[in-house]
Amino acid sequence: MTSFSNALQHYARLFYRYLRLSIVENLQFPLDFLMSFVDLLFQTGELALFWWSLFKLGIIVGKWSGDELLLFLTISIFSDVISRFARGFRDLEFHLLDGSFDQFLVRPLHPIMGYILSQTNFFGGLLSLILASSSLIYLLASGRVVLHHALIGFAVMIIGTCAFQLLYGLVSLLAFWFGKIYMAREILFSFADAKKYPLDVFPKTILGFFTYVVPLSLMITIPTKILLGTYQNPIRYFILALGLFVIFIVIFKVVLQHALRRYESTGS
Amino acid sequence: MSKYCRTFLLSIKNIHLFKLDFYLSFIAIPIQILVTYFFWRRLNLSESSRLITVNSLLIYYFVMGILQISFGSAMYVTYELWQEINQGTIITWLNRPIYYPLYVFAQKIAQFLMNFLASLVITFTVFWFVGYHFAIITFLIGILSSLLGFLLLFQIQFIIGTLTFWLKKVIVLRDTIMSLLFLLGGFVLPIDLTPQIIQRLSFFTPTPYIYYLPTKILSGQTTDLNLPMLLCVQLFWVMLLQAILMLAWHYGSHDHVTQGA
Repeated sequence: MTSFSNALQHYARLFYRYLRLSIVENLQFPLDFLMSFVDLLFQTGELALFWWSLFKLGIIVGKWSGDELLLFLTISIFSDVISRFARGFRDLEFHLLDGSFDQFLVRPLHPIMGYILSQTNFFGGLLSLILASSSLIYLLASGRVVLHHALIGFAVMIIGTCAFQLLYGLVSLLAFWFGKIYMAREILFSFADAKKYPLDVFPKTILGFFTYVVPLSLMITIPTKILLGTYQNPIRYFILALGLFVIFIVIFKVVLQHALRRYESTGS
Repeated sequence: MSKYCRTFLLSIKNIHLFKLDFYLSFIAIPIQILVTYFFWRRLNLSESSRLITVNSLLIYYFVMGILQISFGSAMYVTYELWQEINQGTIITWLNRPIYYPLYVFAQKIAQFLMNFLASLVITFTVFWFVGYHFAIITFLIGILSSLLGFLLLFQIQFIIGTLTFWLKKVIVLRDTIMSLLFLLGGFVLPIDLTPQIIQRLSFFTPTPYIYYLPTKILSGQTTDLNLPMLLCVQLFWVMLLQAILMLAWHYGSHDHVTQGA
């Protein structure tokens, strides 16, 4: 128990250091600092514009009302905050190919953890978190939505997002064997575009695939519906998300072990 | 001029190195189109949205995807220029008897033309397969508009890259401007389906002339468009941005000492 608590403290300290480092780095370039805000607003604006346009055109999206879609948008920003931690997987192959991954092998930290933390834009994540929280506070304060099962809803969102990103990371680990996998992986994950839509408007077979095989709907759609009180028994989604997360993390650990054993530094 | 022609030809010869990557990127389009199809098919398209059909949207997103792949070479211009300037390697190009923006353009246009040619073949095949008819003249205008759209994207990327002379870090700025392009450029939805205020705002900027206008023309959805006027405005933006590019490059490359130089 003590060693677990020590490990937790160790990672919390690391997390805090990287966050500070990211903020200091961003403050060195005032234009970048400003643009980070603007970029985030534009990115969020894309989704907001999409739903706004549909409502202006009188298009009804399944059984979703405007306020419910606003909550959907808010949850998607929360999910994006977590997804930011997996962005490092995207460029893993480049670091393997040019040998810069080697530096993480000699640090007193698990190589993949060190690599992921070093690649995460903590500052951007912090901004997203502020934006999502503001939006949620606005929705709650204005009485537009009432949250049900908040704890389970957010837990499913966090675990579901982690499970999906682990799957993405798992495919990224193939770079240890094949070197360049960028295009193949991006094609494989191009269906992830679907997460911007409420997936319950999709046919049942596809929704099933995006829930039980690839946990795309556990990232935004199902957590939002839990928070809206649509499900009588939301705990089953929590168990499902947790189950998938455990399966993916076990596979990930096994594959990672083999990958690191195989890695022979630059040019291997 | 011959040196730029040779650069152009050399770039065409180099394209085969990335052929696999290029053709693989087309596989992503059907997946995205399928997702779009399932979403739009299930929506209740009410009376006020009779103008929209699932087929017209699918064609629109298909052509948009094709253009995104074709314009791919221009998307790296800022990054490459940013690196050249910050690492100081730009000096090796400034010392040569070439006009660097034109040299880069010769490379990028060669990649664009080859990609666009392959894209057009795929577009023709898909249109023929789904029985979609289009007027040849509209298609030719679409090609011209795509060329101008590519030029606009290249110019915007090059201007942002040139700002490295003053700002040192421009990648976040580029990402922000590209996000604006995605927001107002018809990526989210065709601009004519967005609220009036967005449409007005959008057409005051060059963003709809990069992807949206060529996409609308190539997909044959031109009934509501004043094509001659829109093409003139597209040309106007090309000339304006070219003037800005030349000015920025002139002052940047003459007044600033590059790092490591």
